[in-house]
Amino acid sequence: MMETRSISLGNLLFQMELPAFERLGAYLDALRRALRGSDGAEDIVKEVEYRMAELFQDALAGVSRALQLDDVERVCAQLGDPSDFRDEGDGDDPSQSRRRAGDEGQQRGRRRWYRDPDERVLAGVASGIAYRFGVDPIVIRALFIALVVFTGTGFLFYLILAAIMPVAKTASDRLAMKGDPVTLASIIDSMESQIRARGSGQADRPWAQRWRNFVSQTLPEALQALGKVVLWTLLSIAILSVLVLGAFILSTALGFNGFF
Amino acid sequence: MRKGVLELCILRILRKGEAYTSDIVDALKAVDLLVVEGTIYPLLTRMKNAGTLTYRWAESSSGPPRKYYDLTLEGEALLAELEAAWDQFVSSVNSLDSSSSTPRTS
Repeated sequence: MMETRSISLGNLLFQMELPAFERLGAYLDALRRALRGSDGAEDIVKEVEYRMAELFQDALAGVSRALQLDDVERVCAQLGDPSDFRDEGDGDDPSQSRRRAGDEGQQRGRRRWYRDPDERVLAGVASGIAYRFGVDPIVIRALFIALVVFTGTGFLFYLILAAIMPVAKTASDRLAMKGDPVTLASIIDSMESQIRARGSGQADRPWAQRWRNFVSQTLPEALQALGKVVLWTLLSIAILSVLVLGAFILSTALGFNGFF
Repeated sequence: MRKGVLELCILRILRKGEAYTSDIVDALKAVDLLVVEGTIYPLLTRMKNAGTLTYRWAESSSGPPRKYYDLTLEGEALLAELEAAWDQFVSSVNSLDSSSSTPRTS
């Protein structure tokens, strides 16, 4: 004799043996946890319940019996681990995916901070930042050189950024760096340009491509992006001057006058 | 990568007309493109949010309610775009094989 529970799943009535009932509950709980914060989580859970009801119906094949643990295990295996339900295109930050869902249509995704291993001069920091703000790397490199020449802190700043920013290793990292949504077409695009760059084996190829990018997409965005860069530079200059001022005050307070 | 291909496959399945989730799952499983069903649900949700798919709920006389998906105009445009990219991708990969004159990388 085995105690059973009766449940309603997808508007259908099922009798379940107790272990089966508990396993199903645990699976659905784990699924809710895995989906927490992602787009349409409620809808997905509902649809999974309906799918399970359908699969249980198939398993019973019209026979009137209680569902057993085996039946539930089989259905869970078919649906996959709750972690499989997480959409990798969603990224790891749920608030970000929600924000993106609020945008209309297929916009360019949010660009992330990555060092660019393909078009680097030193560690790829400038190229990575250039992608982040949608400007030509030349602009960022000029800013870094200006910082080095005029304030002397540019190199330290560069080193810190190089330490903080991860390298864009995989194709999807590169796409995140460039702000392209990770879709088939964009991955193929990036594969193609990599294949082409490798096949030609010439250094001028990426430059030509970069120039084309600059003319076709960067330029229209340039005004807005430049505004951001200026803001960003002013902010870093402000921070630096506060630091320098602080050091100055500290050194005078300590009576160390030889420096200035 | 695999998910990108799945996206193309879903659009292709729906080109023939609307289908409910289990139809899509069965079609993908029949050609070994789907191992666990779980991956399909967030993908469909994302495509719906992106405006390439629409859905409607329909009652079923024999089982639980069904969620029928269909292509939007935007979805059809994306399908054409992805198919062109796919063809190009396949021919790129194939061309690497046929051109045996390319220098060997050790």
